[in-house]
Amino acid sequence: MKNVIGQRVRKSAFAHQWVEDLLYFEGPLLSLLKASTSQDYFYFHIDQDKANVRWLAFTVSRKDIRDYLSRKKTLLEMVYERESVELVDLDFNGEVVEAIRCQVSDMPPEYLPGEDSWFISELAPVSDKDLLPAPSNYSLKVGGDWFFEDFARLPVYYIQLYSFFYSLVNIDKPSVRSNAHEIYRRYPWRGGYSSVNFFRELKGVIPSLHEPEVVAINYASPGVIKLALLSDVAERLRDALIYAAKNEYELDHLSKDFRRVQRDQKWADVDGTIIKLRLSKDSRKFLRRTLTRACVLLGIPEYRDLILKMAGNDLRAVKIMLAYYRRTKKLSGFKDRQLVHF
Amino acid sequence: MARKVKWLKYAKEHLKCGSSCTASKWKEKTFGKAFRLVVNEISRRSDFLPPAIENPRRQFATKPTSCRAFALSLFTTMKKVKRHRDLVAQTSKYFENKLRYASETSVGTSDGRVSPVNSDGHFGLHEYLNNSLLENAQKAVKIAS
Repeated sequence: MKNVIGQRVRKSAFAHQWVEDLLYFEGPLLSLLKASTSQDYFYFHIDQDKANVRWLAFTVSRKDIRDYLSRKKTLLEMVYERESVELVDLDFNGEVVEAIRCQVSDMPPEYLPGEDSWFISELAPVSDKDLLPAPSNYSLKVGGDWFFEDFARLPVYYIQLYSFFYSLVNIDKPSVRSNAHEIYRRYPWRGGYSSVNFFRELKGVIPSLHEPEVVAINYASPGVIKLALLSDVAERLRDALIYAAKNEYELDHLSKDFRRVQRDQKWADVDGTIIKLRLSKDSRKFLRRTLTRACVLLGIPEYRDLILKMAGNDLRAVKIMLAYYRRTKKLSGFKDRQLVHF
Repeated sequence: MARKVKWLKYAKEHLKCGSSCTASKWKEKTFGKAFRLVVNEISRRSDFLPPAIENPRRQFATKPTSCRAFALSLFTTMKKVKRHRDLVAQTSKYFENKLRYASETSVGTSDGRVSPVNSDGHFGLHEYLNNSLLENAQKAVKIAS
C-alpha cells in the first residue's frame, strides 16, 4: 500500500459500528458506519494488501447521504468538500491497525474516488427502496406545563422504544439482523445494567439518517414537536403505547407474577447468556405463557417468535419484554400528565 | 451404481455460516458459458478464487454476505461482465486498475451450485471440489486499457 503524508490518529477514535453497505462488488466498496454519537461515516475501499484493507473514511451528514443516494453529488465531490479525511487500515477481523488523518490535497490520486463516482444502484446490495428510505415528518402534539427535566427525559424513553421497534420492523435488513441478534444475546439480564445497555446498544443499530431529528418545536399549549424519522416505526411505537395503556392492569399483574416466581426460583441470579437453561417443565411452561401473554397485551404478538429466537431462551425473552413494558409506562406518563399526545 | 458424492470446495467454512448459508439454497444447473473478471490474460488458479479466499482477501461485515464471499462471481455474457466492470471502475480506481480482463468458462452441474441470475446478468457459484472451471477457461479478453 502507498505511503501517505499525514498525522497518526488514535485507534480508539475509529470504534465505529457497521450499518449498511451502499456499494458492493465481491465485498463492500462503500459502507456506512456509525460512531457512538449520532455521527455517520462513509468508508470507501481504496487499497488492500495481504494483511489489511485500507479505507478512506470521512464524516457524513444526513444531507450528504441523501444527496449521494439521490445522485445529486458524487463521492469525489464529497471528499473535495473536506479539508482532511482519514485513511484507516483494518485487518481482516475488522480491527484498526493504523489510522492517519490526511489533507485531501496530499492524497495520492489513486486513493480518490473516480470523477464519475455517482451512486450506482446496480452495485447496491439491496434495492434502492430498501437501502435507506428517506425519513418523513412526524408530529408529537404537546401541551400542559413542562418542567425542564421533562425535556431531557422524553427523548430518552422515546428513543429507547423507537430503537426497539426499529430493530423489529427492519429485521430483514442484513445490517439490522446481524447487529440486533448480537445485542439480544449479549447480556445476562441479572440487573439494571443489562436493560440499560440493551436499549443503548439497540440505538446503535439505527443509522443516524433514521434517528429522530428535531425539525421544529412550537412550545405552546397546544404546541408541537416536529420530528423527521421513519413514520412506520413511530406508528408502531404509538400503537404499542395504546395497547400498554389499555392493558396496564393485566400487564402489571403479569409483571408481579413473574417477579414472584423469579424470586422463588432465584432467576435473578441466572446468567441469561446461557442458551440452554436447565429449567423444570413447569418453569418453561410458565415463561412461555408469560412471554406470549406479554406480547399479546403489548400488541406485538407477531414478534413473539422473533424476540424468542433472538433472545435465545424464554427467561431472557420475558425479561426483555418486561423491561420494554417498564419503558412504555415511563413514556405513557407524559401522556397521562397531558404533556404529549403520541 | 453408486452415486458420486459432490463436496463443496469450502464445506468447512459453510458449516460456520449456520442457517444463513446460501450454499444449501442454491441449485445445480447446466449453465453453459459464463464470464468472470480476472487480472491476467492467461487464467490461473488465483483468478478463480472467491473474495474470502483470494489473496489479498476482502473484508465483510455480516454472516450472510461472508457466506456469499465463498462463491465465485460470474456473469452470463461478455457484454454484461464488461458493463459491470465499467460501473465498478467509475467509482473505484483500485478495481479500475486491477480488473482489466474477462475470461470465459463454462458451468455445469458438476461444477457447483448457482444463485439466481440478477438483472445485471450476475450470479454466484458455490464450487464443488474438483470442478472444471479453470480447465474450461479460455484465454482472457482485455476489456479495458
